[in-house]
Amino acid sequence: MVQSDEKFPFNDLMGDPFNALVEKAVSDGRIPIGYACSLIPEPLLSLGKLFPVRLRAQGIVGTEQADYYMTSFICSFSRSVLEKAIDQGYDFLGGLVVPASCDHIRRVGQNIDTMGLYDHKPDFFTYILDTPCKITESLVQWLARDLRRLGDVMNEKYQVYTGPEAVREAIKKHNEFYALVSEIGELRKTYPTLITGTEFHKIMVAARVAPKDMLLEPLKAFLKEARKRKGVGEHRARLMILGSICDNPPYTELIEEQGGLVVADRYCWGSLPGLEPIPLEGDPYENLARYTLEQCACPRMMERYKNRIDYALDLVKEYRVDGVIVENMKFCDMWGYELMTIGDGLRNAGVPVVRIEREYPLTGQGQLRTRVQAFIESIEGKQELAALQA
Amino acid sequence: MTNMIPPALRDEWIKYKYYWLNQSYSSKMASAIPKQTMVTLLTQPWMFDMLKSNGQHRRVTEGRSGGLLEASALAYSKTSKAITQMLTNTLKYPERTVLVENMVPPEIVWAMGLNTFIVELIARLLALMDQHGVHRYMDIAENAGLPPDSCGLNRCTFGTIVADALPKGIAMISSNLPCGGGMTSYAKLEQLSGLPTYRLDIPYNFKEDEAMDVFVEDMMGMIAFLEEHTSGHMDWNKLRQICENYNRAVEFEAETFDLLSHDPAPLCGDCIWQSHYVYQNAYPGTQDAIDMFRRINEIARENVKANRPAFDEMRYRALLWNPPVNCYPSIWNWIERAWGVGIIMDEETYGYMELIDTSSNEAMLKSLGRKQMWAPMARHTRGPMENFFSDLWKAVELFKADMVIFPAHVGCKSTLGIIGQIRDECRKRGINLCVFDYELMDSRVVTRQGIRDQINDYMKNIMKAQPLRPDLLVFDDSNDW
Repeated sequence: MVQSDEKFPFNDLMGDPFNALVEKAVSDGRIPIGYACSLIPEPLLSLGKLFPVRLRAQGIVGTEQADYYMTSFICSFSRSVLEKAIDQGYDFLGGLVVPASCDHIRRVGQNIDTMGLYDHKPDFFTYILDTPCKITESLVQWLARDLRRLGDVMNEKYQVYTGPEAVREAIKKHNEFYALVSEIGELRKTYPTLITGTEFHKIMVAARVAPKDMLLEPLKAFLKEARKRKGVGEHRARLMILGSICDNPPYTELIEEQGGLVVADRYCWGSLPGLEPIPLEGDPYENLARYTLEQCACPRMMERYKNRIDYALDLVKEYRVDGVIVENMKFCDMWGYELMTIGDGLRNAGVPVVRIEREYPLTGQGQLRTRVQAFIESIEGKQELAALQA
Repeated sequence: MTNMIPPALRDEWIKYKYYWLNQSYSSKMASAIPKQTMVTLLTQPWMFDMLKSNGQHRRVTEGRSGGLLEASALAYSKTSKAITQMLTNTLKYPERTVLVENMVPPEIVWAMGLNTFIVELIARLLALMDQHGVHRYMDIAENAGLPPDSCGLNRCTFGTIVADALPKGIAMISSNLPCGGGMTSYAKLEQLSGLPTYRLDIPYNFKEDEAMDVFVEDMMGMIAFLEEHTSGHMDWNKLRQICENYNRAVEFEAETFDLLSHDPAPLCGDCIWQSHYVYQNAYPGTQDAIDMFRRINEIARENVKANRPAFDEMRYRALLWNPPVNCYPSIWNWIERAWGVGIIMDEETYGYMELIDTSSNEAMLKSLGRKQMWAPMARHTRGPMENFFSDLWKAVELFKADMVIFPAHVGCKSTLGIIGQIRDECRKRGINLCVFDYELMDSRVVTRQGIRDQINDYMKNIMKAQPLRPDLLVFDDSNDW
């Protein structure tokens, strides 16, 4: 199996959110806007000199300050983000958009705002986006209305034009960028498979933490290079990771080190779903609102659990997945319930499933290794048994 | 004539009267649906726990006297009545029963000629009846794969579904309240029960005018859903009658709230919370609600007139600002007797007291929509953070509170997410804040004594108080119901 390459073009973007490309963009007068969830449409934060940077907090080793404000019963992602915010780790941002998506992250946004952590930056804004929990025409319009209002805030703070033409243009560029990423993602379906899950995980992280225009050339070069490969080497099982937020490629790497090849990333920060083109016809704000709600595969969309099960089963077929690792972050109630629903859906369809509870930082590596090894062995055992019976 | 009866004798009469009234509700249920009652008793362990109803009556009335005793006994007794009625209707007419999430107002469903059964009711009641009654269902839920750190209410409810212990219904209605865990649990509930389910979506920015239009449309969707999946049909006149009854009850309750700001407070404790929780949320718009709020109001007025406190040794006026401890339902009168703390108002009760506009069908829907959107949990756990605080500061001022008690429910991520802000803000404003950890339903996480220890420490070290009853500070009730 191809191991993590030290020369991989996006390695430098995996650490602090204020990475080299963001630093370069800021020095060129561009303004990064932080966002905290896949429910925030990136094209809207890409208008004029603005560009989106999705919040990460890898590298935070303790959350003592955040624990005071939120207790240690809140998920470690939310606590890490708040800790980093208290440490002024997002000082380079021009604003922050947080959706009312789950109790944890919503409270992070509200805490940052209430504590006035960025009051020293006169133009800094915190915006809580009102994201409905189901899809009806009225609720699409409700979200579109709030997106327009967010546009007005950005216009007022940074004088960027937020009219429909500008948003449509941003959507067009967004689609072009993710079409390229999708092309790379398709290499996971080929036989032999041409990229590893770790590589693609890094690409997905890079796509969210750096100005997209700066990534185009390296991505094209990577695609060209990957196509020339003869495969990524031997692996014992093709796996899908499904679950809550995971912005840490070493997590995927550790799984792949055990002989699994992660071919499908159905988790928050993953590409499934989310890379599909956003429609250009019609009102761009409405398109963004509809796309955001329809593409959201988070359990917060309370009416769509059957769609999520069907989607996971489709991915199993499409990516020829041998087993699914369903993961949820400790204290995440929504994924705690969802993994039972979706786990049962997959098991009932005969798909091997292992459930892993984890923290935001990569901890408990020994346990994770053992569980993944055991899972892969069980998949192999089932495959051998099926072959014998055939 | 009443004044000539010695108080001690009058107190005994109150206890005796409500004890037998509570018994009579269970008996009425058994005689109305003997077969269903027997089958449920034989197949569902929770039904046995319901027979412990008068154990809770004893705990509610213990150590209390006068008006507070009567109001507490009355509120609890009316609760027993509401629950047995709900159970009777559900077991008798499952084909007309809609299972509703505990924050969905039932008025519309009733107006359609249907019954409601609150999905979380068994969990709530079990914790009140017997602190250990919920453990069975929590363990079932955890064995089915639910993380043990999720809210005990959802865990226990989920366990009742997995154990097939929930009464049958024909459809289900839930909402995005009160929290993410509660909301997502309904996917699994729908999957297991196979019931057609409608979900109401309360906007985050619910205070905006346009939110009302969006939500009324959602409620109309719910009506259409019920008409499609049940035999119910909307009867607007019936809805108007329910709403008018609700309004009469609100008038009495609102007047009582005004009286609570009087010093000394004429009433306090669970009679305020329980009466509101059951008869304004779960069982509103009934004659029982009107009768109960009228009588509680009379008691409060009598005490104000006589300048009499709710209990003789009331030293502190407190607010309880988070859901009360379900697995320790007698904490209200324990804190009264041990420390002289009267809980004048609580977070689940304070807030929405607006009358329903019954001038037209549309006006009624809007008012009902507003009632749900502005419900305490909608405001506090799902809305902007400032809602939580603005209500608290208003209540501190209005009820002249000496201290705020904040039960930090370890399963409630939404309120844990603002705990630092609560501490900082109370410190800034000079408000005494007692935070204690607990699990809403699970006394294995923090025991009753564990809760008492935290409060005892606070009262001794921060409030510098002397206990009224030192013998009540530490005692073993770990095996008590």
